[in-house]
Parts: sequence; structure tokens; C-alpha cells
Amino acid sequence: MKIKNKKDFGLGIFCILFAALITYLSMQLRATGYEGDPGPKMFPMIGAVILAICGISLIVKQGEPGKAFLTPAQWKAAGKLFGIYIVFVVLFWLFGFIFAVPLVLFIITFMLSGLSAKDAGIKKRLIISLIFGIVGGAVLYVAYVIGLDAQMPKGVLIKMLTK
Amino acid sequence: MDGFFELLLSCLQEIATPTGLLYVVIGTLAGVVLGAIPGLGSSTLMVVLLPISYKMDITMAMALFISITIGGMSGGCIGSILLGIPGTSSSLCTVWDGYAFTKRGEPSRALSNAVFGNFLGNVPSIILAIFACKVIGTWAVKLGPWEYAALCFCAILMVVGFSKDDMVKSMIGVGLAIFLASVGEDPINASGRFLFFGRLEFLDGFNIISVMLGLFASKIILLEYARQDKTENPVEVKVEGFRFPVADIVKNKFLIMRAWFLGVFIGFLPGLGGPVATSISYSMEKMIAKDKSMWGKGEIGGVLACETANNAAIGGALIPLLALGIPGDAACVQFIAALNVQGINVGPMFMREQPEIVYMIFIGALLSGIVVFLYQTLGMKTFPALLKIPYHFLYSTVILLSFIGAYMSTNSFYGLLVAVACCVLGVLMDCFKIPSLPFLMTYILSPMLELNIRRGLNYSANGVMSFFTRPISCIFIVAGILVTIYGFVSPAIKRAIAKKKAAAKEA
Repeated sequence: MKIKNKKDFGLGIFCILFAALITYLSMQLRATGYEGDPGPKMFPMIGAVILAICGISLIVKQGEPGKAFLTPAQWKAAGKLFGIYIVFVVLFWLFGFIFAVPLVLFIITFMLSGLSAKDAGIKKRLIISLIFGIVGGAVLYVAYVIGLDAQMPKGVLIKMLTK
Repeated sequence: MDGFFELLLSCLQEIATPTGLLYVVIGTLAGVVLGAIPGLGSSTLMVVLLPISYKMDITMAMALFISITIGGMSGGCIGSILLGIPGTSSSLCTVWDGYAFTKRGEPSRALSNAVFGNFLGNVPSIILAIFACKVIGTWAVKLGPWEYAALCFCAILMVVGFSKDDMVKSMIGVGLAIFLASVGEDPINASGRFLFFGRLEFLDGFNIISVMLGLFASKIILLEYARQDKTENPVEVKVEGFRFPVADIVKNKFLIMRAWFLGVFIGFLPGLGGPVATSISYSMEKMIAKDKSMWGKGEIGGVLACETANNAAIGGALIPLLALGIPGDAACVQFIAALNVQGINVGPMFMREQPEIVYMIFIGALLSGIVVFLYQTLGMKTFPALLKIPYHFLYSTVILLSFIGAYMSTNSFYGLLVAVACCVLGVLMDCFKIPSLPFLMTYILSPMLELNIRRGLNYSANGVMSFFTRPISCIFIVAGILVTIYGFVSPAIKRAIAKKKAAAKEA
């Protein structure tokens, strides 16, 4: 078989494998025992059938290869920001709302200011981002924790240290 | 009808309080600002506000959300006309003629017409929706599980069939959504389904708020950052105040009427919404125009057709949403999510059981239409300033609000992790050109679809045939299948026609 569009071919293979996985997992589900009810496996199986048909269709009839979705440099930039997302999750868990939110707000603001305010010097961007991180973090704390009475994580490390 | 007008009046009294009006004004203005800024759109703001909406009074939350939608749709034209970059996808066609006015030093004329087109589009369409919902809502309570399952089936297939995207890839989105929506409790006997690694968190499924925060807000900003196209916009255009465009409106009165009807109709059909309404309206008006020479170079009819049609689509989309629980576009999916947050299931009984919420949405929409018109006419000079809002402050705040909201949606790290995972899923979907609307539509309709299919099979002795022996159910199923076939066949027909034309030209 000729692979005209690697992306479509790969997606087709993924769909077929994923459909097989859904089928396998669905077969493990038990029927409800109600008369006429096809049971909990019916609906996910419909999803599996759709995915399998689409997968085969993509392999058989691949589209024309188009422009790259992102360039390697753009993937790198996306990875960098996604890394910050992960850092936020970890900091949120370890240090809680009070520390994680201002810190990550500062980091992301500084990163993004490299695009939309690049004419400003690095020192100015750093100071403005820092102020925005602290003030923004405080505003979010007041809005969510005090205003909305939301239960935000206090951080497992902070809890351990303050015990 | 007496009770109907009393209900409308009581909703008006409730919203015409300082708090109610504040919600409408803030929602509308925030919608205009985010609608004007290319990239984000008012839907991002709605998604970010979803987790905190459970702390609000339900009627006020709905008034806020509809105000954001109206403001966002009306604000989209600002970026299109002043920057040449559409603020929202619904204002894409406005760029073609609107920006030409800015280039030749007449931005106020294009903006004044767009603002008036917005008003003429949304307010009458909402008034129509109020009466249409009442009629359809009375009929909808007679639907059984067979009809309702068929309606959901038809809505999903219409999104796929009418989608401009690759049909196979749209169907992949549907398949993925069906699987992801299956995770959690079984709707009939509440037993666990696909509890990965035996984790009980999966029993709640994937919260729609976390899914949308990941798929919309986090992903959009990630890709905007990756593409590095958010440099400062040099908006040095001077905008004069609003001038009532009497001559343009009188000259284009029939065009406005056509665009309005088309917008309402397209808004009514699931999955199409503003972007399709504007593109069809623009193409149609250009096609029937006597003098085509100025179209695309600064024809005021182009601006009016687009802005009337996209705003009229709002009223059209509200009809199936409120009368049947079928979302017309992504904004309607967010409405359903907001109602779910408050423990309300939208369906055919919604109009009968919660009429005060339904009419609050309508009254909020009407007031918002007036507020946006007042702001856009009185504050037109401030439009260039809206486009100068620094992206780095806005985007970083949106990311943090998304993650805090995702945590709040489940009050655990599970919601946050789902949002991060959905961000990855969203990027991959974009990478493989899998459209997000069929995915979202299926994800939100799946619980209702499954429940009603299984109830239908359970209640009837005829099995699957019971879906075809009931006329309304059969009509919906056949319509869904026909639209899907149309989606598969129409590109081939278009190609054949183009080939024939090319051959005729050569000959």
C-alpha cells in the first residue's frame, strides 16, 4: 500500500487500534439484566465501530499532504508553554494556590510579553510581569477564596511544614 | 397567552434591578472586548466563567452568559473592520469589505453600518425566538425517548454533514466523543464504566467544564504562543463617532431582510451558526448584486449582509436549544454546560419545568442587544483602544482562570488533569484536522442519546424498529442520514461540475 499522507495513514492506524481497545474494554462490561436493554457496552461499541470505519477509510483514501501544522520551532514553543502548564499543576499540588498562582502568572506574563511587548526592555518586562503576578495573584485569591468561598489546595508541602 | 406575557414581565422586573442590569452590562461589554480581540473570542470568557457560575443565581448567570454571547458576536466586527483580522470566525467575511473602508479612511461608515446591522440582526431574531420556542416547546413535551434519541442523532449528523471540514475526520471526532462520554456511570443502572486503573474519580466521567477549558482556552493560547503571531497591533486608525447610516440602510433594506431570514434559518440548524450564516449570506448577496465591481473592495452591502446574518443566527440557535435541548453552536454547548453546573438538564421538558430561566435568557438577550447598541453607538471612538489591550496580561490571566476553574469544577486535581489532558487532545485534534464542533456536540448530547436509545429499546417490544415505526422519530433519522449522505456526495458533485465547466471553457 502506498503511503501518500503519513499523517492520515498514522491517524487511520490509530483509529483502528483504538477501536480494538474500546471493543476489548466494552466486552468486559456486564449486561444490566433489564429486558430489551442492550447494556452498557452498546454505546461505546458504536463509537468503536465509527472509529474503525473512519480508520479504514483514511488508510484507503488518504488526503493530499498539506502544510505542516507547526514548524519545529513552533512545536518547541508550544512544548515550552505546555511545560509551564505542567509546572503549574505540580506547584499547585505542592505549594497550593497562594504560591503557585502568582508565580506561574508572573512566568507566563513574562513569556508572553516577549511577543506582544518585545520593544520594552527585558528589565522593564520582568518588573511589570512581577508586579502583575503579585497583584493578579492577590486579586484572584480575593475573588476565588474570599469572594466565592472556593476550597483551593493549600499545598501538600506547605501542610507538612506547617504541621 | 396571558400567563406567557406575565412571565415575560416578571423576568423583566427581575432583571431590571441594579444587580441584574450590572450582569447584563458587564457581560455585554466583556463580550464586546473579547469579541473584538482576534484570537480569543467571547466563548473563551464563557468557558472560564463556567466553574464560578454555580455560585451565582441561575437566572443571573444565564443573563450574564447570553450578554457575553451577544456582546461577542457584535464585537467581532471591530477587529475585522479596523485591523483586517476577524475578531471572531463569524466576522470573517466582514473583513473583505469592512477593512477596505478603513484603508480608504472611512472606518466610521463601515462601523456604523455594522453596528446597525448587529442590532437589526439580533433583537428581531430574539423576539422571533421567544414566540417560536413557546410553540415548539408545547409540541416538544409530547416527544418520547424514540423521538428524542432520533433528534439527538439527527443533530449530530447535521453537524457532521453540513461541516465544511473533512467528513471522515468529523466522524472521528464523533467516535472519540462517544467513547469519552461513555466513561463514568452507566445511565441506566449507575454501574461504573471504564474506570481506568480502578480509580473511582472516573466514575464522574470527564467533566464538560474541564473538557472545554482544555479544548478551548488552554489550547488556543498554547497555539497562539507557538505561532508567535501576537505581536503588537499598530492600530493608529482614528474613528469618528457613530453616524446613523440612513441612506445605506434604505438602499440595502431588502438585502438586510434576506440576510436576517437566512441568519435565523442557519442559526436554527445544529452546528452551523454565525460563521456559515455570514459566508452564505455574503456569497448570496454578491451573486445577486447588479453591480459586483465593489464587492470585496468596500461595498457597504457586504458589511451589512455579514453583520445582520451572524447576529440573526443567535436568535435562530436559541430556538432548538431552549425548546428541545439541542445546541446550535459552540456557544449553545456552553449554555448547556452552565445549566448542567446548576443541576438542570436541558431537554424537551425544560420550557415547561423552568420557564423562568428560559424567559430570563430571552429578556437578557434583548436587554443585551440594546446595551451593545448603545455602547457601540455612543462609544465608537473607543474601538481602537479595545484592540490595544496587551495580550500578555490577558492571555496569562485566561490560562490561570482556566486552570483554577478546572480545579473548581471537581474540587480536586482530577478536573485540572482532565483539562491539561484535553489541551493535549485539542492540539492533536488540530494537528490532524479533526474539527472540534462535532466532537463537542456529540460529547454534550451523548448522555441524552444513550439514555433515550436504551429507554426506547427497553419500553418497546419492537426493538430497533420502534425508532422507525414512529413517524417523527423516523423523519429525524432519515433526515440525519440524508444530510450525512449529502456531506459525502456533495464534494464529488462539486468537483464534477468544476471539471465540466473547465472542459467547457477549454472547448
